[in-house]
Amino acid sequence: MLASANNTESKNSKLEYAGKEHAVAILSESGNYRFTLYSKSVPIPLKRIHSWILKIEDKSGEPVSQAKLFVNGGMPAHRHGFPTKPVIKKYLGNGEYLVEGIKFTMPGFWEMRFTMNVNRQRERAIFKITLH
Amino acid sequence: MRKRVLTTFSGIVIFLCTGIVFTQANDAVAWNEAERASISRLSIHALGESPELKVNRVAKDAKAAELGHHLFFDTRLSINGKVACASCHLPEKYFTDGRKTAKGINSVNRNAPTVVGINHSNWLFLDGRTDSLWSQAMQPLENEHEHGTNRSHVVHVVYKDKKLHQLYEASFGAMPDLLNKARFPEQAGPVKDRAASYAWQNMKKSDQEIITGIFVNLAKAIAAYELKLNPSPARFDHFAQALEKNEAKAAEILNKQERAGLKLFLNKGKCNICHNGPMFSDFSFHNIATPQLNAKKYDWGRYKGVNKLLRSKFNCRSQYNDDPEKNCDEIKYIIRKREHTIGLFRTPSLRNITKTAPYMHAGQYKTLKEVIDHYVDPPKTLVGTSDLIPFPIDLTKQEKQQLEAFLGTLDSDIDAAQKWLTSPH
Ligand code: HEC
Ligand code: HEC
Repeated sequence: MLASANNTESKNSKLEYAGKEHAVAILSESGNYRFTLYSKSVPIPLKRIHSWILKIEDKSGEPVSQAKLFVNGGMPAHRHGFPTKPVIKKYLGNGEYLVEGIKFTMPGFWEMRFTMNVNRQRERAIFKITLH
Repeated sequence: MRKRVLTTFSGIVIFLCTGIVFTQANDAVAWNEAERASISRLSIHALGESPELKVNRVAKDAKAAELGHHLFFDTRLSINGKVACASCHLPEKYFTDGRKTAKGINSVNRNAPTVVGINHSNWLFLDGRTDSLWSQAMQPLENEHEHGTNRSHVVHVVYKDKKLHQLYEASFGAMPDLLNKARFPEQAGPVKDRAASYAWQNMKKSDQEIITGIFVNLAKAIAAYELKLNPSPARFDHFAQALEKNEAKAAEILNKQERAGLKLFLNKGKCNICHNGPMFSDFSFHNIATPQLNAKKYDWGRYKGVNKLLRSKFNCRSQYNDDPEKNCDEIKYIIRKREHTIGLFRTPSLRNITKTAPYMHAGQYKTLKEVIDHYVDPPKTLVGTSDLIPFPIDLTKQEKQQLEAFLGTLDSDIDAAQKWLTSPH
């Protein structure tokens, strides 16, 4: 599944993002990188801290290793962030990074925003996640 | 001309009639899918296990609850023999005190919240400075404004009281011998009181640990008692259940005004953003620009709470956490930044809210009407940034009344045998 970085609120099934086979891929805002994201916990839990996996590839499909990454997010409609401070500290190899400390306080429309610093450029990708 | 007017007139009449018929026929199904989902998540039947059960090995121990019940009402556990937990958490006031801000040995700068159902929160105190029910219970005892006593005193009271001593040993095993007053002074603890603090510093570390270990156990017993105090299903919950079964009966459980209030709660009022889940709280922290109690000394809320929690020797990471897995992710990923924590308070539960006036962290508002007015026209926040500013809500006078009427449907009894709701003494 490949959507644009600015995909609107998805109306997809409950399975979206739930585990590797339901990973969602989008292009970074510049269009130069492909970010693929999924939740390690299935189903995606509410009110419990858990981890996600983010994979980054360049245009040619080469995994991007050891990138410096930041994550934040929240519920844009409610103007509040995550109740926790998630971090990306572990590189798992093959372009994959562990996104730790994610917690959703309620169902609804959430965003997970990633920033990667490469070649003095800032690459951004925003994932839209609807929790049921 | 005349004819046309008549036609139009009768047209309106017909329209109005169908309008009425329409609402009546659809009364029971006037809830869309999203609203239904929100309602079932607010229902008390969706309540999960208390997080305390994992971290407190006596959480379900009947003898421990009995001991905790005694301690909760015991004024001997205070420096002047007059203050018990129940002095500020009165059963007849739904375990609050009806005061703006609480008063024990001295005045406290916060309003006394209820303890009913609070075992479902990960964070205790309005700034979340403790992360378990048991570690919360230790603090008022040693706080100079509340019980004003110290852990050795508390431990000695239990040691010398035959009944309490027995109850203790039934749950925690034999109490060590504390008769040697040189090793175990009657007044000692890491407290503000000079003499008690001095005596504490002069104790051997291993003896301090003995006292602290017993003190922690007593706090766990108090938590076991508090775990008994939960709200029963309210009228709202009966409504939610009926609605799930698609029964037209749901509409009979809440009247029209209350149902309109529920709609406002979920939609236009946006209350559900924070007051969600079966306790009507996300048990998370928000800045809602509550006026400051003291114009000279602002209450920074969560900012200080986080720092106190991380410095505490009794937080999730402590040796006294009984969870063998010790999952302390809440601390690991805690938000610390000043701009994201200053002026935030934990969302309170709204169950039985009609019984716990005055409202907010320092009793700033006397009535629910005043609270609702706050949301419609929030003041400027003096610390941090308000979570309310981006989405002003506009409610008519009638809508405010409907919202308040809905809050009344959350009234219920406490789901505990009568004996737990009175003093055992
Ligand atoms: C002097 C009045 C007073 C006494 C005595 C007192 N409390 Fe409290 N209690 C308060 C106040 C005020 C707060 C809120 C304080 C804050 O958030 O800073 C509170 C908070 C609590 C909370 C957390 C509630 C929540 O919403 O997070 C619990 C649980 C509690 N008290 C239990 C106890 C127990 C157990 C005792 C006895 C060991 C006790 N209290 C003694 C006034 C009192
Ligand atoms: C952005 C989150 C948020 C929203 C939205 C919100 N609340 Fe609150 N509410 C809180 C917080 C946080 C407090 C406690 C503030 C304090 O103590 O200073 C609170 C306090 C209250 C209280 C007082 C409770 C007590 O025990 O003192 C009531 C009643 C209440 N809210 C009702 C509502 C209603 C009705 C709405 C919708 C119109 C609403 N809230 C919307 C977060 C929110």
